[in-house]
Amino acid sequence: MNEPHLGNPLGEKIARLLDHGLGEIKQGTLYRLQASRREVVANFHPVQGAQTNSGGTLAAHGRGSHYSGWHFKPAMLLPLIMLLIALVGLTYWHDHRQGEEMADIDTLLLSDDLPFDAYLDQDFDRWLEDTSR
Amino acid sequence: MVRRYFAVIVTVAALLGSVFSISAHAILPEPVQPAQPVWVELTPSQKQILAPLATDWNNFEPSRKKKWLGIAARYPQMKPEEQQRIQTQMRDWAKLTPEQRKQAREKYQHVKKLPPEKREVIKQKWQEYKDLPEDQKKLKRDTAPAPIPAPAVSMVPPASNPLPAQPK
Repeated sequence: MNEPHLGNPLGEKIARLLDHGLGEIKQGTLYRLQASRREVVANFHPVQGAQTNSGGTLAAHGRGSHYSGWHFKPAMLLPLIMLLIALVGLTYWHDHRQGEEMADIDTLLLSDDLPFDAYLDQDFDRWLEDTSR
Repeated sequence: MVRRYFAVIVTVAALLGSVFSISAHAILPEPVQPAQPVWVELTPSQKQILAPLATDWNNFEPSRKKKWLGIAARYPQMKPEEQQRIQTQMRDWAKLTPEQRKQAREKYQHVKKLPPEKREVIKQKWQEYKDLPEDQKKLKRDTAPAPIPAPAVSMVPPASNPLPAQPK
């Protein structure tokens, strides 16, 4: 923690706080911290074009790994698949309902005692309006 | 992170669901209609009911076949006179253009909402009109005065009725 923190006052402040009482850390805790650091460093993939702190401190690595962009994770796929299935299902259900509605209307229209010709005859429309005034 | 992502997905799904009726087809492509049976694959009962459509059946698109199969499914529950009307009108109805069918459905929907006495007037007037000689129908058409007062009975809907968007 005694490495320089060039141009990063916040990092320097955090480092000072961490340095304070560094000697009081238990051996087991120290080992776990080192193991965590190794793991973070091993998994760190710098983003192309991203700004990195040349100090290479924990703070810099931490920032790099946390904000390194959108990482695809298989767990994200499940909600997406669910959403897609739901949308496809809703579309089919919507179409099915429309088809049923259409069958209902046509059944009623064709079985009605007023034939469909009456609805298509423009002359009848006019005649009906004229004679019902 | 995953939990937050899941929450976003659920929220998006809820929003999409709430506006689904207007947006489903904008989001997804038109779904492929499942194949419908050709004429020889129909049951004997369906063939009997849909007999007037036999020659045209195989040329119908799937959604249209599905609609007619829906009508055939409702057919046994109908009164004999209703069945007879469907049988006599089926073929001519199938020969109409989609626009004509849409127009007929819209007017039917409008007439269906009229009070029973007005519907009865329309039916009586249709009988009367049908019995008129052709020249008298034409005379009425040619000498029709400017429509000053509103008609008591009209089959023309005041505005387009919201019908399902697939007139087949």
